[in-house]
Amino acid sequence: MCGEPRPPEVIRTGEATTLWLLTGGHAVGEGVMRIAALLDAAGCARGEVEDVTIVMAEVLNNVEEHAYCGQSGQTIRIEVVVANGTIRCLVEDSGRALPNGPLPGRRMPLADPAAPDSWPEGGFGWAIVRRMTTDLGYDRREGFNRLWFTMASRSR
Amino acid sequence: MNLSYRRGNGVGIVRVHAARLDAAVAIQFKDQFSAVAITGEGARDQTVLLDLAEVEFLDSSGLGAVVATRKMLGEGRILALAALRPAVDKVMRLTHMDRMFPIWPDTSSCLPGQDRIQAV
Repeated sequence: MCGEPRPPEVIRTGEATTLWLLTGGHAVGEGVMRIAALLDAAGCARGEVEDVTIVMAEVLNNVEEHAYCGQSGQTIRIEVVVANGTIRCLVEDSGRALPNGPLPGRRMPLADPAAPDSWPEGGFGWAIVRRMTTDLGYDRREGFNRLWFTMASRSR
Repeated sequence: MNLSYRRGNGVGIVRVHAARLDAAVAIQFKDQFSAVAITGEGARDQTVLLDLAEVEFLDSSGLGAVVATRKMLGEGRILALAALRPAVDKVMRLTHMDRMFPIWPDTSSCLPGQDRIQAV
């Protein structure tokens, strides 16, 4: 197919912008950078863009590693809406469902400074997501996982 | 992802040449760190300083890998961090790991043998 340009990825205030990515390799990192570029172009402040990249990286890694069990070539759909001083995000995948019950990460893993051998090497991801977002929610609908969250947005 | 090694200021300095220390490169990072600081030219350094000046982004998997390298060094050796970029610094603070590692503003300010001291 040639001659048919893809619609440009632009964020318009109040409208949902949709991105797709396929898991595998550096797809998560590249997807996060695409979102950062979009938010930056939409005039979001640097600190807020940075926060979204931190949260989005954790969410997308979880989808790739747990919902899709590390399989490459699986689709993740992301929706971003910038409006009324907030950035709202929705992440959708068709992988395994999250276990029933409350979302993980209520506590940040603890470390004893005097005993490096016992320091945690994991368990930070969900706790980071919880700390940095408001309105974090999840549901499973017609074979799709849907995770959404809201973050502050201050325009430059 | 690549690591380089040099001696400076009485410590072994391992510099990470990557813009992202994340899930995609975490295993590679651990393997390369081991090759430098456990079996390679940095094996005798008491203090190993991880120079993160090029790392713009650290996710929880990258952080887990940094913790794993601390464990590789074992007791009696120290892992210090230097030159944290803003997003990396944010993740370290959020997870409270900024209290676990000696952190220096840059490689030239690191003092050998200083453990568990917040230097910033």
